[in-house]
Amino acid sequence: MEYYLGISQTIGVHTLLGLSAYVLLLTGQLSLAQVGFFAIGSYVSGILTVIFGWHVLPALFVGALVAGVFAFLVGFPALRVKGLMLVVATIAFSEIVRLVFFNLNWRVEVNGLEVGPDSTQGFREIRYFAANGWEQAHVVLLIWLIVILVMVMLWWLDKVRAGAVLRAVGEDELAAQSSGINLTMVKVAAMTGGGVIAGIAGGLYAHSTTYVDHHTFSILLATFAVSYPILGGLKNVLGTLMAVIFIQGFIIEGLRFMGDYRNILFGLLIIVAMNFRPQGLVDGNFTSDVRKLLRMKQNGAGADA
Amino acid sequence: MDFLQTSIDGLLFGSAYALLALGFSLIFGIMKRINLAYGSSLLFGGALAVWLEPFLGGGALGLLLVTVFGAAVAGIYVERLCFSPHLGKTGTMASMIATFAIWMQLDEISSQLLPQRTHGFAGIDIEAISFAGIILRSDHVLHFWVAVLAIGALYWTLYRTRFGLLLRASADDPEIAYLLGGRVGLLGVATFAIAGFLGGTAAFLILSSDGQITPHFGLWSTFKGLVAMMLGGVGSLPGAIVGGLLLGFAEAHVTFYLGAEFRDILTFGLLLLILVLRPGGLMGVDVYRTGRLATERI
Repeated sequence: MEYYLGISQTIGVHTLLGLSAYVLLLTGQLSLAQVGFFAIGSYVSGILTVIFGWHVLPALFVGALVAGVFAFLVGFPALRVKGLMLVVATIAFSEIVRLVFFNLNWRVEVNGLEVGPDSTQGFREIRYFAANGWEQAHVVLLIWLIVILVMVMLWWLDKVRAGAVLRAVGEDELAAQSSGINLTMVKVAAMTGGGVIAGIAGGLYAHSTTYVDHHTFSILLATFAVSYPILGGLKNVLGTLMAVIFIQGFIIEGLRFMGDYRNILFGLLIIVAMNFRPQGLVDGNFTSDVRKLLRMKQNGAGADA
Repeated sequence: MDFLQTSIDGLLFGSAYALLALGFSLIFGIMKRINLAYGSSLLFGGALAVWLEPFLGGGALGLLLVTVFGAAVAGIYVERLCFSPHLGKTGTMASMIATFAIWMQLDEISSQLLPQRTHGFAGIDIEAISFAGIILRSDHVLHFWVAVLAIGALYWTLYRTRFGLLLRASADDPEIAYLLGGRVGLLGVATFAIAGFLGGTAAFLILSSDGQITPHFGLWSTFKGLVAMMLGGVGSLPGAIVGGLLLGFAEAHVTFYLGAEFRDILTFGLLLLILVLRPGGLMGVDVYRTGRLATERI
């Protein structure tokens, strides 16, 4: 049971991370800065609960907010560049954040124990959940509540004007601009939103694993974050969730028996998936197929009656 | 004197970065795609060389040949799986994710070839040269001359042969190149093979001068190549050379005056600054200017 709870924690956190990249991808921006915001969220909320003794919920909130502020500030200069240049600029940002935390040393004594980020040794004492009698099931519940909340919000976003604006910028910037959309504002807003979501994901990750260090925040994680929505497809948020379950649940956990050779197969499976469905697993055809299937069932039921 | 010594060390080491950046720049310039598996294909070459070392004669030369060969083969593998299936305009993201997958795959294969993680990599033993109070590490001098040779060969291929002409034409506009009778079909493979040759040479130089190889080398060289290419200018070959030398120069000085822990922070900071101030890189196209020109006509 504990094993499955652990997997569902990972899937939840990675879904949030994927959704934060999804928001940006809607506007056509491919950003690897999500892992930087993730790191900021996890360190800030970790420091608040460990050193300042806050409750976890406001700590998560403030962590997300700080990550959002950084995303906002990074958004302006970074979004001056487009396409692959943006990929490189955001790689640089994420690496700078990682290296700052790599060198961050802030040890203080709390209740007779020395705690806090210890540069290369990482940040080891984020034990809020265990210290306050939370069971693992509660933690999983909290994570998934937040995941569902974010997914519903993004789903709703697609039903209102804001979502259409985001997608319009992603489809064709020139056309969007000529219909009176402020490109910079939309892109920075998407960047900030993505930063907030990644910040929450980071806080949840830090508290559920109790331990973070700079290895966690490598560019590998950022690449995972953008590959979920791309693999899943940008049609709707369920694609991202499906891709996370496919990668984390099926490939990484399901193929664990293959040991080290798993990564070799991992590469192959993603290549196959990308070649057969270049628009993602949940693309336009998929959703219309599902809709047709549902309609057929309804019609069938009607005919029987 | 310290300043001069540090500068020279940095520039000499930078010549290996320049080779890494050239390989990157070729792929970027011709395919307009980012190849995250570039460093991993070089790592694969190095790992293959170490793995085959007991069966190889010829010492350093054998290692060099196998490294270059392995890197080129891995590069072609990347091209076939990640780039040729996604040639259309919408394929940019798909091919980047595919290179990400291949990166994981090549890193894993290389780790399997290097079971003890850190393996020795035979170096080249030549004595250091001392000249007017300045010590030149001979392996770094070797870097420099090999880099000069490789760059010369690349320029000759690109600007003096029919194949180079086709390559440049296809970089400008693949459709027109095809309409004018160029065989553009296998050009991608050739590009990746050349990038593999350049990168493999750089990998051999760096590995033999470090005297060891670890699985971290893949991501490390992707980053160095990317930063050097971006500093100099995207898709510009002289830019890649200048970017590599500049990166070596900057790293040597930061390490000397501020300490090694600041080196990478400042490297990436410099990259971010240049991307924001001049997105095309120092010697690349002025992105803003071309953007303005494209819209101003109306």
